[in-house]
Amino acid sequence: MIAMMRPSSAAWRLPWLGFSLAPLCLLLALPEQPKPTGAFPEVRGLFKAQCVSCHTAKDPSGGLDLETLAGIKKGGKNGALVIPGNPEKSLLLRRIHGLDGLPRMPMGFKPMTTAQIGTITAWIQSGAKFEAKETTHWAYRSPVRPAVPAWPPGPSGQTATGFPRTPIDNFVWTRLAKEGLQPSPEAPPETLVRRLYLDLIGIPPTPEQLDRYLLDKGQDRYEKLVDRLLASPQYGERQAQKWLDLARYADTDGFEKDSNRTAWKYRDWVIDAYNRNLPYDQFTIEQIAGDLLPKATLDQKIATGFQRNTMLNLEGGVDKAEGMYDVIVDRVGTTSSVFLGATMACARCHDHKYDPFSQKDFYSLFAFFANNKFEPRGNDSVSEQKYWEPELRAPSPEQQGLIDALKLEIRDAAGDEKKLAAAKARLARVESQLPIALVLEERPRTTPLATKQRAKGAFTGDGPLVPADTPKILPPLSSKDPDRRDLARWIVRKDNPLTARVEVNRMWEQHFGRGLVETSEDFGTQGSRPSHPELLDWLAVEFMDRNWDLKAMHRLIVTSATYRQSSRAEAKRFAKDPNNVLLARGPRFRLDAETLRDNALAIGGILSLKVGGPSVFPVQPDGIWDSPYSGERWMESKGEDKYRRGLYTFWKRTATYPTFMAFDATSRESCTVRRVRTNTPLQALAMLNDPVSMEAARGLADRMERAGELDTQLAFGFRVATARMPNPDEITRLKRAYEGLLDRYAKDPEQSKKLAPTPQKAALILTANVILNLDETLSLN
Amino acid sequence: MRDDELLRSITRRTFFKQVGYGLGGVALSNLLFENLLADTIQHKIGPHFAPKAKNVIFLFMAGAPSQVDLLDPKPMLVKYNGQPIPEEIVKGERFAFIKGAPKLLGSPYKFEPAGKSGQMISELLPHLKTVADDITIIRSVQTDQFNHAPAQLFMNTGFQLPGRPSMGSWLTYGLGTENKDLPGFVVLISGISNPDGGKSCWGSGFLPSTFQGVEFRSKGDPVLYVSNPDGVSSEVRRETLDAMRDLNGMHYQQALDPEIESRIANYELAYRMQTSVPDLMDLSKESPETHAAYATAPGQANFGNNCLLARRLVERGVRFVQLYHRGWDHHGTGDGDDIPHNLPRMCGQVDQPAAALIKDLKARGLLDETLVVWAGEFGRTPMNEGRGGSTHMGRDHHPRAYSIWMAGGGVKAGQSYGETDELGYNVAKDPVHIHDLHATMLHLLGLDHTQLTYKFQGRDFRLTDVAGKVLPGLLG
Repeated sequence: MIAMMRPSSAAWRLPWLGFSLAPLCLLLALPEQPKPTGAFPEVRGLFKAQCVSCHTAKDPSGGLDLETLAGIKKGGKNGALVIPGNPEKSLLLRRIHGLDGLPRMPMGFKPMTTAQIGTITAWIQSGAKFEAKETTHWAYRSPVRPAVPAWPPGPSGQTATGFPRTPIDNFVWTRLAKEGLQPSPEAPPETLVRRLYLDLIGIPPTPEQLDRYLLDKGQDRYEKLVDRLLASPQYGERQAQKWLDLARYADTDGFEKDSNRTAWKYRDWVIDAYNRNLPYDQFTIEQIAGDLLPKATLDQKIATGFQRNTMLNLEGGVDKAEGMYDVIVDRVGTTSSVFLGATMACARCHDHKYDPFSQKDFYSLFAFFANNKFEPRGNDSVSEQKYWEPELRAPSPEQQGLIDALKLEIRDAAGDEKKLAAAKARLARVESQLPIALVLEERPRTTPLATKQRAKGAFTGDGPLVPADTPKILPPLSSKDPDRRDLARWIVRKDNPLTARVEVNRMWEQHFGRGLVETSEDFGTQGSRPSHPELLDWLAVEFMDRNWDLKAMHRLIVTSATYRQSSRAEAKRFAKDPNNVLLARGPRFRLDAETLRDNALAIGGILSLKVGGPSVFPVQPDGIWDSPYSGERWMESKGEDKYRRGLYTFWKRTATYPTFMAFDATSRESCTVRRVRTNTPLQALAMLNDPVSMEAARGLADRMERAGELDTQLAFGFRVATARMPNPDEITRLKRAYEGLLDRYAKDPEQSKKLAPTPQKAALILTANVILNLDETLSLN
Repeated sequence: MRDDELLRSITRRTFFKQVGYGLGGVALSNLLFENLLADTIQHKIGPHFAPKAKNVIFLFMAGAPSQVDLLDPKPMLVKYNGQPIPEEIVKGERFAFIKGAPKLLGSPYKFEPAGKSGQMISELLPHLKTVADDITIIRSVQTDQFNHAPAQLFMNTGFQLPGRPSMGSWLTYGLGTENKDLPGFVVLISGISNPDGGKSCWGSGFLPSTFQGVEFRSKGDPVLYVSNPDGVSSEVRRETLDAMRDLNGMHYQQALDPEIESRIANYELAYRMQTSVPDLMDLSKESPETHAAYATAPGQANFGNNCLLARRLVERGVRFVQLYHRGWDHHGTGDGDDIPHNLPRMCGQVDQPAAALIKDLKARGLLDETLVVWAGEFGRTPMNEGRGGSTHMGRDHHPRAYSIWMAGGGVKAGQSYGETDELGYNVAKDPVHIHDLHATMLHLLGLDHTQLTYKFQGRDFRLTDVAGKVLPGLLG
């Protein structure tokens, strides 16, 4: 039956059995996000995906045409489809549930999911309205700057508390007031400082940095800190670490041989682009078409490495043309996911089932990349022929300076054979050591870009030739003979409805642990609806109006009162909104894989802050790398390179650094827009026992040792890790742990010696291990 | 957040409210931990109907064994050995390495009927013959891929590119695990190296990483970081974990975030794994007879050890155990990868342990509830490869028709299923596409392959993509 009343509390103590019995009531009783009112475009999407294979205009089953608005309004031969406001009595839902002794719909297909049925229920509940005319999905309409709601709200509004610091707060609080929630108070200053450090630069504050902030009595100390962090070179590293997931950056080819490649020049380009605050439109253009820009610089060419991060299958029997086809398919999919939040890859084989992208749209985009330069290489007679894409020598500015100087020397040394030979030899040596960069180039062409639309998406599939073009649902391209440059410029055109929204949403996700559109990878009809649509649009327009200034947007978000709230999940707020969609509290989530490493090394005082350069090989257990046909081995780095930031770790696709994988990093075989965040026992093992963790513990113990008496040592260590002073209970508990450990080590000198010269030090190292493993240490609070 | 997660977080919260922490950090009761742990690991959405099998042991023969030399006898191929293959058969075909007009290559090995069922099995697999009545040989398997990495991914995930969840991930996602102290999906590796498809073969793709296969290694820590560092005894570890639990509990009082409870539970589970994993891996308590039967080689990466471990894992309720043994890629470019020398060597490594596993499971009453699958990623051509004029007998990759075997877990035993044509080139009867194999395996485990779905990027994905059918002829 369709239960419409609130479930008794007993019903939701049956976690596993409960689902199938009471999905509807759960959805209605425990709203994950407040129910929107008005039209539900996704209902049309559901009909399209689930129903229209039978219920179409041509010969509709039961006389019901669910493809057109008119048909939906008219209903079928059994009468009206829905009774607005009354889901229980609505024919549509009764049939979806298979009630009244009639077959369940969609008949012969998989039942709709709880969530889908919930959407339809909510739609009927709210009046079963559709837009007045056929309209496009919200994300395909250009954002228009909404008015910022007044605060406090008018006399009829709720009691308002707090002072908004940015327009963001007006949007968020107006919504909270409607839902009967109050914002949380501001988090304590030390919590905020740690939050900002970890969020903006991915490294926790030192006690000195904390004190500097706490002793600053200026009104603008918070904003000053934000500016300092945004100006730090570690800001670029932190942002790059996130971007590399999108760019599927890796140091190997993937697939069977998974050979090493030299790709880090692109990684360094990303870090540098963020640090010099390259506007996002330019950032986008250079990565898609840097090589085609007038007088393209070496840097702009390196930026096209974004498209070269595709995997490369060099296995013996691979067909080179098919290999290249897969590469381009990935370029299309990645470009659409990253910049447009569109799941275009679905349209490779057929028209998109839910979103208005046709298979032709997919191949129209494919055509932009179809002329990428590649050349056959190797011995064709034994199928060992491979394709090869362009590489550049990419000297650093220092190396370029040296080359220029040596060339001058050679010119000036004319006549002096000995000097000349020496200079030439040095030049040759410098040039042989230059790193390479993988780049995109075009082959010469005389005809407009076009490609074959492949039937069923198969490499061998046949079909008509389609010219390079952008998806029909989005604003049209203006150029006649477009190339990648035009595609890139079109992506960042201000009337493109997706680009700015998608990027500000990712920024929001970074700061709050969850985007305003939760499915940051999918802005289509199957993605989540924005929790705060007006705020999203306001931010998107603001972003464009500020000329795509990334640092300015980060600053805007983190200086909001919304961001500065305490993250305490106080009972009422939690009950009403367990996932903090409404933002009545601040962000709290476990740090991501690379940041966990950086955090631990920083707390241990052993993190290297060297920026850029070839990827490094930190300590890793034997036997992780063992690819067929590959003699490549993990060559542990020496010196400070063992303690570099996580983003510099050599990223091998088939055998990714295991501790990162345990914490939800991906192998970067394809673009990852959003990492899932899990909580597992393997994470606990890595955090407890990975040699890196133990080195961090040792480092922290060294620092604690220098702090004074035992109580002070413990408090100091706790503060280095969490940024706050422990309370008396916490100190007591830590001390009890230390004493228990000391007792054991004093009685067992042999074990103790394996760790440290004295039992006291051994106990302190393990106490530091405890501190490093606290949930608070592992989380942004 | 999905409904079940939402519900779980609220339910957990309720537990905590009822029990609560004292300010001094009172420990949770054991009972509560049991509940929390169960919550953390026993996530499941199935079964959809009564299962025949509870667990799977998948013996993955990476590199692709030759079906015409092992499981699919072809007298006509022997008769026409050395003749060019009729052109109409190979016209328009794409091969990995073969160029020009290849010549037929009859098997140099004898086949004989085995067991009461009289299934034809090659002389290279004498031990398998002794369990002929317990297995089903499928001679009509088809895949879409003819290179190792894509084909191994296809066999494991139903898709040729990395990024989809593997069978074991789908199963643990669908059925949860029965052992609270071990991962639900375990991978064991022997042979010349890791498989070509890499760790994506047991990756969880877009499913949460909780469901990824965990490699139990034969050297070093069996599970990464399961051992305490030097100088840290189990008692010391307990001491530190008690402190973490109490301090986390105190912090929970402040932050009230249910993730903290989950973290506490996972640290406890990690501690238990520190005992349960070494106990599992310790083969010393197995009898000498057992060791002899499995042809174990303690301390080495050995297929016999891994077969024995597989039995110990399913005994402990681990859902999906996958063994990889790479080295079957018999192209015939030299002695090291040819049919006369290397194929018998590989059979020698695998035949006895695999048969011992079937017998052992049967003797312990576990075979009925354990589905055992022995398969490579594709088969090998009935023609000689002769790459670059090589004179060694060898075969190229062949996706169109090949053989695997299955046993236990509700599979109809003692039969041969499917047929190839007289040259063994194409399937002649009862084709079994990889998607069908997956659908049938899931069916045996009580899962409807069309309903085991996960939504990602706007689409409901499944192991069988948009295809696959359950094959009644394989069901017992």
